[in-house]
This record gives sequence, C-alpha cells and structure tokens, in this order.
Amino acid sequence: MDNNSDQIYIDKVLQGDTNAFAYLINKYKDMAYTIAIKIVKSHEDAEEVAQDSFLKAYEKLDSFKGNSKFSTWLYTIVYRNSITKIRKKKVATSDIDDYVMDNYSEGSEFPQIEAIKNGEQQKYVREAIDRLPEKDALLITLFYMDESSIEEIEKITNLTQSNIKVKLFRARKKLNTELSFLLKEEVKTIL
Amino acid sequence: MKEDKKIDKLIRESLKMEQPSVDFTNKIMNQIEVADAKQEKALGSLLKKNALESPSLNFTERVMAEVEKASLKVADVPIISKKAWVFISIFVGSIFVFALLTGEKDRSSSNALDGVMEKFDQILTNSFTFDLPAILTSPLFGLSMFALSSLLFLDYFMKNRKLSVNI
Repeated sequence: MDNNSDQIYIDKVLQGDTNAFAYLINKYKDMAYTIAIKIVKSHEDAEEVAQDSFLKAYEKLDSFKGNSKFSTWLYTIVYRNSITKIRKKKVATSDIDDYVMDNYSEGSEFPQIEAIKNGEQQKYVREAIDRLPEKDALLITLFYMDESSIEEIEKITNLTQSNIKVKLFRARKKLNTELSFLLKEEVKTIL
Repeated sequence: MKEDKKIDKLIRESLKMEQPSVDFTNKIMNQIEVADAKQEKALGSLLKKNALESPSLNFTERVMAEVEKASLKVADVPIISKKAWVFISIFVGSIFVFALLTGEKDRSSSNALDGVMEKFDQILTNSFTFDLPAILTSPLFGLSMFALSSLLFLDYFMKNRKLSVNI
C-alpha cells in the first residue's frame, strides 16, 4: 500500500506534475536527513546533502524502475552524497571510526531513571548513537528506524550481508549497554 | 590398598550424574530468545521515538524551489547536445585529415590492386570523391581541425568526470 502510494506520486511527477514531488519530500525528509547527519555529522552539511539528494532523485526519477522500494533508492542517493561530502571535506572515514572506537567507553555512568524527562531521553538516545562508529550508526538508523531489511541495507550501503549483520550485532550490544537504564523502562511499557 | 581401589571403583560405578528434564536446554534457549526479542523490540521502539532527526521547517519549500528551477532547465536543453557537437567535430576533422593524408596516395597505389578490387575501389572512389577548396586541403588546416576536435573531446570528458565526482 505504502509503495503503491509512492508509485502513484512518482507517476504524477513523471507526467509533469512537479508539485506531486512535495509528497515524497515530506514523507522521506526526516529519514533522509537522519541518514545524512549520521555520516556528515553537521546539521548544515546534512541539510545540504538531503536537499541535493532530493533534487538528484527528481532529476533521475525516470531511471527509477521500481525494482526496489523508492525509499531504498532514495537513501542510496543520500548515502552516496554523504560519503562524497565527507570525502570533499577530507575527513577519512576510517579515522573517524578509529577515533570513536578509541574514545568509546562502555562503562560510562548512567543517569538515574527518575531524573530523565522525555526531552532528556531523546538526548541520551541520540548521544548513544552518535558515540557509535558512523557506519554502525547508519546501519542502526536504517534497521530500527526505517525497518529496512538486510537486503535493502546491502543495496544502500554496498556492504556485504555478513558485514552488516556483524556491525549490527556490535552496535546493538553497545546500545543495549549504553541505554540499559532506558531499555528496562521501555520493556515495561511495550509489554 | 587394593581394597581402597575396589571401593573407589564401586563408588564411581554407583554414582550417576543427575539429569534435568529432557527439554531443559530448549526451555533455557526459549527464555533467552524471548528476553532477546523483548530487548530488541524495546531498542527499536526507543530509537524510533527518540532518534529521528528533522531538517529545518522550510526544507520542503526550498527543495521544491530547486525542483522548479531544475524542471525549467530541462526545457532549455538544446536539440543538438554538447556530446553530439563533439562527435560532429571529430567526424569532420577526421574527414579532412583523411582527405589530406590519403587523397594522392590512393590513386597511385590503385594500380597494384587486382581486377575485382580495382573495380570496387573505383566505385568507392566515384561515390565518395569530391573536390574541396584549396584552403581546406592545406595540411595546416587539417592539423588545426584535428587539434581543435581533440581539445573539444578532452574538454567534454573532463567536464563529465567532474560531474560524476559530484554525484
């Protein structure tokens, strides 16, 4: 149903109704922006990357054949644009990963659950994701927040399925440790 | 001493390790799976609620403005693309260079061809031979055209390369 509605708007755009593209922007802008910020680490750059990606998607829309979901196709563009952006800024991905791994402390002190208000919960979750190596953060974003399958993540990132699974396992373990104080409460609420 | 060994043996044989129920392992594995599933669900729920970022409020308007500009650009695309111009230039340049370098030689060497090839050559020569103004057949003009075509071709590929890097 969701993919069908995307295709309806894609067809409208291809038939010349430019305004129909706004539907696709509104639907996917948050996730596109979230993916970009996980890689480029700056709000200005992420916004620029997300904007360029939507523009490129519009220009290349006729090459979208519907073999995958529109979101997968779009996020592939966002991912590649983000990588190009950080390469241009001469920030080596491996250096970032090494830096994060070196500075990552699993035993950081957790705040008391009573002290955490809703706004603060968001802050702790985002900070925990930001402390992950950038690729791991991206995979977590795609897997949990967009509910992308391993196959879809493979298409977007060009990583092998086994590599994705290993990185996800590693990231999940770190988040479980970092956010254990929030997860206990979350488990209670979803039961 | 022998008595002690006998007693030890007897004790060992009489002792049997206690065993839990048959589905003991399955029970534990199920509990682990349930706990993992709960944890996984909680993590997903926590991330969905708290980790999605949003761009600025006028993001959609800004992208749509760019989209409008892009759709206008599409209407301005010339009938003969830059790529086509490059190939036309190369083609024309090649004809001049070919005419300059092979025109005289072909006629003199045609004596060496056998009957069939000679006829075929004559047909081809009659079909494609044309007289060019003297200025167009000068070696300098030919070389200039060739150099110009090469430069255009090079320019096209360099620009194309820059574009693909941007993508």
